[in-house]
Amino acid sequence: MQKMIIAEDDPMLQEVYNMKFSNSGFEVFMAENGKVALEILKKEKIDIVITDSIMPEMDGLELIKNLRGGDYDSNLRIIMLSNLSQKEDRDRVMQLGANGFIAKSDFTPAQLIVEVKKILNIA
Amino acid sequence: MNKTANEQQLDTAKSDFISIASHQLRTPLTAIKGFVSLLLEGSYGEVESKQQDVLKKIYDSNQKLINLVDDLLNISRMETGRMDFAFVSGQFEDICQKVIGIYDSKAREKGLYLEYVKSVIVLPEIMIDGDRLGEVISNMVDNAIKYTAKGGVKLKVEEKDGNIRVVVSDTGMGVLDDEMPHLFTKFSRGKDTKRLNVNGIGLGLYVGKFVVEAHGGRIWAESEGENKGSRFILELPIKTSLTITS
Repeated sequence: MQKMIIAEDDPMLQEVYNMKFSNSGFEVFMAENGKVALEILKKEKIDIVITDSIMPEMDGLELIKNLRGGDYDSNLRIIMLSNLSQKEDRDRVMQLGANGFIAKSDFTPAQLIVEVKKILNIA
Repeated sequence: MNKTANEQQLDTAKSDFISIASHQLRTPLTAIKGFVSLLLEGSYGEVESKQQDVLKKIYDSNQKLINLVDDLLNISRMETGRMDFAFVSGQFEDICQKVIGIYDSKAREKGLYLEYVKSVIVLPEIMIDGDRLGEVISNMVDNAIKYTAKGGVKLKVEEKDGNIRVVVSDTGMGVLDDEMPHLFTKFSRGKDTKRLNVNGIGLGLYVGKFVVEAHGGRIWAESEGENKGSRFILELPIKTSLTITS
């Protein structure tokens, strides 16, 4: 089973994503910001990080910078799931080393799973 | 129109506000979309068909709100020069086919025909932002269906005088002379709200005009008057600096 961290500060979206990804065969760890995500990474062997962009304490960009800064497994796959959907936001995230970018409100949870699997190359 | 520094500052502040508010609005709207989808998928147990109908209505209304927020965001980007375009070589026919696919059932539900008239010649590919132009043409067709009670809507693509032209004509309520100058302005829905008893806040054509002009084209409307139908015409030059040279 793939282990996944979802960094998301909105409790409602946490519930939606947690339910959908858990039901779709992922082992999900929820983090309310980037800092918490990094703490989980110290204890768990994680395959995928899905992160929101705007979060308190440590936002998604800062989290990706940390994850790609050399101290973490470079095989760790990172997807940003954000409501900032301008091309410049997307470019920036990809430049920082994310594997994908998904505009949040464009997808239902079921479509989101399909999209995430596509990015991760898992059927 | 030249704006003073103060006016420009006010514009920027206004647009920044819309931008931030839009992001804040999207989060709960995305949550509603998520929960309703999960309910519909049966993630919280089986849902009766009547309840499913209601859930679909909630889903559709919520989607309208998401689209509205997107429109407001687009406007704030437009007005601060931050709207970005991804121009790639594209074919107008493909965009129009897609639009027809989306609106076919909507027209039929209203008892209207939706006819697609292809160009008689093969149109050249030109540099376009297909997604954004698709939204503009969708909006033209959506409006035509909205303002037509009987008859139907025709979407025609043709080459005319060195331009690619998309014409959306309908047999609907037409455009009054005093409505004409306001069609492409912000929040314009016509003064006579009784006559135009429809949803929407009048942003579609305003955004559409901006997008078309960013492609070096133009968009305008024609109508013979009340209840005589209308034609919305979008024209992009084939030979622009954006055209692909082969």
